[in-house]
Amino acid sequence: MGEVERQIEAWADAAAPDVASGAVDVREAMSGRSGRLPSRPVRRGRWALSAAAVVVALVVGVAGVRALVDDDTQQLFAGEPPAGTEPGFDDPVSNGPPGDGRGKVTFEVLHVGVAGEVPVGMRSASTDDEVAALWADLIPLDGQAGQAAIGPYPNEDERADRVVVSFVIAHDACPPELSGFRRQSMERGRPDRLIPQFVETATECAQPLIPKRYVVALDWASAGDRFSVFVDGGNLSDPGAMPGSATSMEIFLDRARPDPVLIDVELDGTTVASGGELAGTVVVSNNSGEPIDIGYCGAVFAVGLENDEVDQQLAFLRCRQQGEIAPGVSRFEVTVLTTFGSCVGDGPDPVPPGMVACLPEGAVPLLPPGEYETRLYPPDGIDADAPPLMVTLS
Amino acid sequence: MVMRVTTIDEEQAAFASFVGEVEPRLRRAFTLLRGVDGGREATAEALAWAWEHWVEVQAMANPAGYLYRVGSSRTRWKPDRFAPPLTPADALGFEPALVPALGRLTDRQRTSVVLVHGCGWTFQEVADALGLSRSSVATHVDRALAQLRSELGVERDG
Repeated sequence: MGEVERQIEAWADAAAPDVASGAVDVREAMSGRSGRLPSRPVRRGRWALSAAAVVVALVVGVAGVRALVDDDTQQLFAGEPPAGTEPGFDDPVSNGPPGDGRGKVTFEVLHVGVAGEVPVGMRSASTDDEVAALWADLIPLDGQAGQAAIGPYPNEDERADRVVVSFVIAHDACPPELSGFRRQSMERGRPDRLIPQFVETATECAQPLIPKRYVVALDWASAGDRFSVFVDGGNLSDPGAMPGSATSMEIFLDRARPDPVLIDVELDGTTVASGGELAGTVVVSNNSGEPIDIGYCGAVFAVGLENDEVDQQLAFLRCRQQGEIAPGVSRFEVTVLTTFGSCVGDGPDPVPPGMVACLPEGAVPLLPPGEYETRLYPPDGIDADAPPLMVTLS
Repeated sequence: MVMRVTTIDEEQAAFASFVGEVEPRLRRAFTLLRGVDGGREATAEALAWAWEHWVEVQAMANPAGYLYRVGSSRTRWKPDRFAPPLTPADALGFEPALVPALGRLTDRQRTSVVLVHGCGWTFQEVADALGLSRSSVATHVDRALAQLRSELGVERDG
């Protein structure tokens, strides 16, 4: 033991001697809090009005995003996940061996405060620049509604081992305590969901009735290299929660891709007969906390197939539709074709390099059987790519 | 078949035993960090919560750690600053500058180093109490000790 450690121990022994006087006895503990402690005032009214305004803004925002979507084939979800993406089963968690990404998730709550007038849902930060930007956005909120100022991001030396996630819950007065994360296994190879678990530790308090923001650093080693954080608004519908709190939000994190926008392609299968179709979904996780402006024509995303010998020659319409991808997870249904996308009909002979000739009556030919990889065609404004999936054409 | 019926008296007896074991640890921790009055109040709050949630508390691996979080949370409407107990007149064995130096640490650093070296809690117990990872607690303690050594002019030893 070092000198300073010895001094701390000596100070502690002198300052808090182990004497029976002043002890909290069993009777006092069992009598509860009433009649002994001063009751804390509950401030409502003005803050209740502010909270309601925030909810309206959030709901309108989600509706606005959905209105941008082509209602034939594209479904953009900025809130609750669509049907068919329900979780596979709950993993009672926390029992896996440490270090395999299946055990108890270790984390540090860096900040709990009011969300401000415009809650932007979820956001992640894993690089120095992203952490700096997140802090820069949070610092102006310091002092609002009496919340504590956010301190400098601690443990810079641990930054590579952790990812910071910021999320907002709709809740009144004292924010519940974040006690941990429940792990939920997902179907179809999707990464595990980590769902924050909250514990109410106060029955009344003087803090304002307004959504609360949590900034949490999760350890990659315990959470896994790929996972999502899912704030289940439906589970916050306790009597103290605000109306409209059923909006759920989710973001995906991938240690190998520390980008503010992550895109994954999910397919219903990996083998299909040439000429057939594969249904799939493009899953976009916008972890930046802000909408992304996009330009597209028709479908927002397309997914094609290619290999070293075959270029599918997909063709795209030329037009200029404007839209945005909301923060959080958005899903776009796509159909993967196993034909060429274009062909050369009655025209030059021989067919120009890289092109294929049309079949009689102008039909596009089928892709030849073989092994292919998916290729993502994102809209303007999206630079991120998706890891390719292997698809076998028989 | 033997059917065991747990009566209220047995529950109360079990809780009394629990209070006898946990209360001194909690009160020492809270007293060192919040002063005598604030520490007692936080301890009372935590134990009241424990009785209200006795079934859950009995299943906890580290109930003292969790109750520390409860006590902190239920009294956080109070000014959340370091309120050390008065330095006793017969205090020996530490520099008078230690207490103000503790007050200049960050909350996390101070809480971690006081719980570990002032209360004898393990890093894991502190991690459970603060909702941090064990490695984070170790980092907070290391940095707190480094700052205290610097302020007290103590060379690294031990």
